[in-house]
Amino acid sequence: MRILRSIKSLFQFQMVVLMLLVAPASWAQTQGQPGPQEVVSHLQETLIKSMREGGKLGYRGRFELLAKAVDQTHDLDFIARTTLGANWTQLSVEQQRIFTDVFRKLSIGTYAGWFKSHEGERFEFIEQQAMPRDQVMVRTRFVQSGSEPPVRFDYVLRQTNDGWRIVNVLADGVSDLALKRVEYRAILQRDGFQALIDMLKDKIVQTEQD
Amino acid sequence: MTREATIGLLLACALSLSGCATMHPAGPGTDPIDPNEETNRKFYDFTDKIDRAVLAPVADVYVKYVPNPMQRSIGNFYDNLAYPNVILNAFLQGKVRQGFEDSLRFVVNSTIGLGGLFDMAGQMGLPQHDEDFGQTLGVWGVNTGSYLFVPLIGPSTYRDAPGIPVSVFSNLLFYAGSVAGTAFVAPVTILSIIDKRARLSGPMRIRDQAALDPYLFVREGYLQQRKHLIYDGRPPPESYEDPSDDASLQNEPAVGISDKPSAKPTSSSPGI
Repeated sequence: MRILRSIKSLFQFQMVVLMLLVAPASWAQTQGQPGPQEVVSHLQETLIKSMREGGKLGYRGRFELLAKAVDQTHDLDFIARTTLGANWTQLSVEQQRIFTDVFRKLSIGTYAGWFKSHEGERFEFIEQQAMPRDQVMVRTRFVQSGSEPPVRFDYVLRQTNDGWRIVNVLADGVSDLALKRVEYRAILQRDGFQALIDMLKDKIVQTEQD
Repeated sequence: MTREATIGLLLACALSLSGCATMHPAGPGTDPIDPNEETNRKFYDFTDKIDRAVLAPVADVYVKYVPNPMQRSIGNFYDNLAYPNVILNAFLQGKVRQGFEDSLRFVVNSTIGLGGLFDMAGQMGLPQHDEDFGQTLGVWGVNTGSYLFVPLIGPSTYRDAPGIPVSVFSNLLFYAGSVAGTAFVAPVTILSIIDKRARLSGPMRIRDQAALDPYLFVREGYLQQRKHLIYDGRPPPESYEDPSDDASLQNEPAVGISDKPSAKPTSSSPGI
């Protein structure tokens, strides 16, 4: 019996050791995923790259470069759903797919249209702040050359299965999500789904022309 | 500034708008923040037409041909004339230290800075602040009130509108008329309008590029930026809910199903 107890306790000990070995491994995996600040800085590094190489890449090149970075750093499905709010659930699955696709192209196109030339601009990290509903705010500023005052860019991130992802951007306190929410909601109500999609498609074309 | 040049019109409009406010109750689909949307949209369209026909082309020429350092000095000059408003409201908000620093800033720029043309105080560690009476009322806990588009002046609210006369009477340009003649004050006032409009060129371009409904874009952008200013760049964080999450739907009806106003993200502080 004594031997049995020894074997049992040894087994328990092994279990504990095993758990201790496994726990840091899984902990390390979570730690290995980039944190909110790293996610934001990945996006911003790509934006600066898009500006530096803007002329060489052209609109298409910038779009492709930024598409990858935006997909890796944003939770675009969440943003698309949240932008439409309760109206999202009123759409058919096909309409939801169309909207998400157009919304993604507009988001990337907007970045590609705006971040196209570089004159010494840079992003600076200010702070990271916890928010309600397990979201995190990363505050940064976009420092411009010359006498132009810096522009604040604050990012709201949430934890997803793929890690931290941006779900809203605030430029000098103006929330992109809130702005689109009000506009899209009004247009849906006034002109309907197809009109909204057509307007968004026009805007995508415009990002290339500007 | 634009405000100074159009004070009479402004007061007339503010009065007429207050009248409108009581005449048009919010209809279905109207945002509770903007019960006078119909009237506001008319004023917005009117202002936009004037802007595109007159102000924008003049501002474009100004931005293109006046050298940047000169544009900066002209901007500094008008900011300095209007700075007593910032000082007054810093004190009214209880920011005593900032109020004294802003007073010092005004003295330094008015003297060493050659009447405000050069921002010497900024280089001495006295940064420019942005305060006005509307922000003060916000800090005191006064609610935003309904949105208001003041013709030729721009976006405002019932809370921010009283700040317009305060900024006029605290601006030294307003008193320049009694000291200098109209021959001097008129061109200086016109230049102040051009300077003001030129500084709005960037945001106007963003509006033209991004907005699906420019009126709503300006309204929401304005309301949010005011909140950002009232909290001095640190507004309480808001989170948005996933519509797939059933709990969040209870607070927000879909369009076409209900005519109740949309649930908006709320802030924790009253008066904002």
